[in-house]
Amino acid sequence: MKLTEGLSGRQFALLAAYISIGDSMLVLPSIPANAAKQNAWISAIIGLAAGMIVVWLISAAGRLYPRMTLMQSSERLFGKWVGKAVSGCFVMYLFLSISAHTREIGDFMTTQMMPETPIQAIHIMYAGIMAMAARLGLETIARTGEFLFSFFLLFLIVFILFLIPEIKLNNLLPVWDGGLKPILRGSITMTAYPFMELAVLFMVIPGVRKPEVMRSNMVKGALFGGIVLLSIILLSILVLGPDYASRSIYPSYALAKKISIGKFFQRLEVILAFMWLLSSFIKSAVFFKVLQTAFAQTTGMRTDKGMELPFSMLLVFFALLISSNILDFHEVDQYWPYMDMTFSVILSLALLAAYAMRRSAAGRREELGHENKGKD
Amino acid sequence: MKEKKEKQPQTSSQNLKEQALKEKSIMASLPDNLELIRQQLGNSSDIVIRQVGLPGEIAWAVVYTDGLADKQLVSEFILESAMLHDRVKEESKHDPASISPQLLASNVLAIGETKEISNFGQLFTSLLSGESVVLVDGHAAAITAGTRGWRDRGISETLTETVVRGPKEAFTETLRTNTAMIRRKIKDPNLWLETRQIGRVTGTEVSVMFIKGIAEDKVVEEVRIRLERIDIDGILESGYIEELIQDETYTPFPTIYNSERPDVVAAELLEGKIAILVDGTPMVLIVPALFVSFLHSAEDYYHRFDISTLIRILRYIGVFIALFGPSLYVAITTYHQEMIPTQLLYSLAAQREGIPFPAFIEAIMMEVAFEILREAGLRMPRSIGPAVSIVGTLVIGQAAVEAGIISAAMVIVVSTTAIASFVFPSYSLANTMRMLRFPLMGLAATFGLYGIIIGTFAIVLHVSSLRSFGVPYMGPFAPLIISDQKDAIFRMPHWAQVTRPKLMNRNNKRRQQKPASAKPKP
Amino acid sequence: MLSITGILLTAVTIAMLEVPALWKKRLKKELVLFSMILLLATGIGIVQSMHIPLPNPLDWVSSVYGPIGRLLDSVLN
Repeated sequence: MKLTEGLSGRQFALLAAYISIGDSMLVLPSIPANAAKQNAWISAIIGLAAGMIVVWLISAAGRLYPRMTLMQSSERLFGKWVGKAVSGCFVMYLFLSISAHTREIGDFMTTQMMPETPIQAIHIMYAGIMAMAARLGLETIARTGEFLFSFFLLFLIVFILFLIPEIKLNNLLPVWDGGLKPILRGSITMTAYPFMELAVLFMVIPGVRKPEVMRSNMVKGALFGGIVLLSIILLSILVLGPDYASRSIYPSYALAKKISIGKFFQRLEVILAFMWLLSSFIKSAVFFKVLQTAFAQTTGMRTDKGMELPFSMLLVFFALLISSNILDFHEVDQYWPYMDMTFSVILSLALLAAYAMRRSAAGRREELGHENKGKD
Repeated sequence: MKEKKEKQPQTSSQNLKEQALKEKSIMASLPDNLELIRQQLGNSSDIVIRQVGLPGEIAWAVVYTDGLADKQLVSEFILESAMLHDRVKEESKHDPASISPQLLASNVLAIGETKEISNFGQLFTSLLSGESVVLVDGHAAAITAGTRGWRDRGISETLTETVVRGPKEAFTETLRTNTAMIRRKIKDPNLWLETRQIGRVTGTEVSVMFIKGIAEDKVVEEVRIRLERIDIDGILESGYIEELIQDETYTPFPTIYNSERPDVVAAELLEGKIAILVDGTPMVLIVPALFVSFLHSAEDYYHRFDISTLIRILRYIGVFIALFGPSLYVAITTYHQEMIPTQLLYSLAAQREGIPFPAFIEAIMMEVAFEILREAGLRMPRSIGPAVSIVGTLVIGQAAVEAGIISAAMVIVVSTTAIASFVFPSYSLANTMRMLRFPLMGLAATFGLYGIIIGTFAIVLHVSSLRSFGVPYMGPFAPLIISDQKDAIFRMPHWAQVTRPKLMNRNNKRRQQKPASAKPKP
Repeated sequence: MLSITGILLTAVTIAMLEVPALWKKRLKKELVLFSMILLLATGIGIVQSMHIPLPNPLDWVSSVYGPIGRLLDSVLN
């Protein structure tokens, strides 16, 4: 059950970038801003550094069996039953993640851009396009991302450039006044949401044409994403000020509203909406396609196509189920990073450890074998 | 001899008979042969059977189709050369049996092209293509002579792909003329031509042309396989072939390019693509086709690179307007009024005051009206065409605005969209955009900008999954191939076009050597 | 009432689209799983549209990870 015909290194890097920017672009900045106020940018830097370590870890685990999906390698390293349990949990993690993404889009749309539209409609459209993307395959998703990336980049540059006149450097003061603890609190989500959620790439690695370029491209993509997020957080503080930034749920959207050049006023929020929808869509599409394959392999199905529609229907309702209103949903930030950590850091370490144990066991067996041979 | 089981039962016995006839050998007796020909063709009055030979001499006959065969060739080079040939006259008195069709072909007939045939299938094909068939009594074989010559439109100016600078010749409906026009552009012996007949009833000749060594062998083979697979009654236009061999049927996007200009076809052949020519139509198919091909015009290469690049960029802007124009208008005026600058908002609001319809219905009405006008304009006789379109657009549009049925802004939006859609050099893609506009409008009306964005994602997803004969459709954009960007949106100067498009060929990449500077040294 | 019909209609449409292909290829297990997920989705949808409160899976997640979160929070304060 191949995932794709073959992703190029560049496509893989782009996917990593999209996934790290993902939905974090919209929902992340308010969290460090809340915790560390004007020092949120320091949280972001710390988060970025920690994130790079996580990426390194994930790619190290991914490199062990580059042609196997997580399901296959965990069965091989942990044994059949533990492996299946791990796979099953991963499937649920994926599904909950996508539900969360969908809900975020729904919340944003119904509170900021289109208040009269029922949230179910937004969910249905989003789930629908997920199903279409998954049906068309990972390579198509990668190509779509590639095609739209130039627009994304263009909009991003426009976004940043037009905000520069609004910067008030005073907003960064006083630097480091609360101590390290608030800064660290803010950096937890910065590490988790963009970088730990790259664990999904475990399932994408088998689809990369040349496995040796996997690591460098994952790092490149994640670094790019991290820098983009850092810039957004930095700009949020510089332009909006720590007060407004920490109180707003969507600081990047508030940023976009602030852009005004001459007559062009309010047009540019759309640019942000497009950017965020794009990065979120690619991230969710990858998650959804991976979910199909993960589910199929865990349950022993012979094909990973055909389940997209039931899952997207389930998605629509799950997205409603997981929270009663938008404020309630943000409670999630208290514990979601640790779930991310389980499937990225702990899982990678477990895989690496199991691999090391196997190798040394095999090594010892070889030694004994050699000894026996020597005795002849 | 056995027919496949999938054929419809009522024609299978017919097919058996046809097949049997095709394989029947030409008989030795001339009267029998001629009788079979007459019978099979139902004594059609345009089939001419010219019998030669006095009683006692060898009897032979020439059969040709009046209108398809050049009668001058028949009389001068077949009849005259045989009837006035000394040896034939001698031999026919002494030893008639030695006059065989093969002898006629090799020594007697002064015609340029001859071929020996042995069964009736070949006989009828040649006869009905304009060749003459020479039958000799007592010999179970026949000779065809190349006497094709019918009246066709002649090489004229292209009507659909006009350029300001560049050759204005267009293909005609005769296959041979078209292949010759291509050969005139490419004088390389590696330009190969393969011809086959497709269509059980029409027997249309279809030729495949490619440059060996530049075109990928795998793709050529794929083209051959797909053409062989076609089993249809008739091929009347290249559009039939296009639909029968294209990669995917359920897409609004064309995956096969067509053109009626020889210079365009030649340029594509040089890039490693393959041309499919169909007798009876000037539209030549080019395969594989990428999305960018539909936005390129031949003129881009004849003008200077700076203006060509700018015009190409203009075309892409045109694509955007043609596709998103009405949808953006509907979305913004319905859901996102805060995005419009205040002054414009006032005037738009004032315009929409008395309009009874919501923006979406207005847009649909106008678009449909425009499509009707456009289709009508195509069929109208030349004399009243322009007058009616002026009446239609100006007067009716103006009247509708003044009657308060439609707002002026909508008229502007719809007309701009329509004109922008004429910016496409290729008609096939313009049709795609016309079709896609409507679902986007629907999405805009129900979900505003969110709907448009999701719709855009759906379109890009779909288009990214398409392949044309194995080549990814979105060409140099996704997968991103930097070296091909020199001829996608931009058109770098000719001296910079050092390599051929990467997706078309793996071997033979270099087009030219980097030329030394052309400036004379001071 | 309207939403329940809508949900059922959607479920039936999805089944009509996918089931024939699976049936033809005789993929029994896949068919079973397909139906399971579809039924689950339909069930949840109908219950939701009747405004009956359903257990929230995130509550289970928060009971597992919540303590860690609170612990770290107090450390970093």
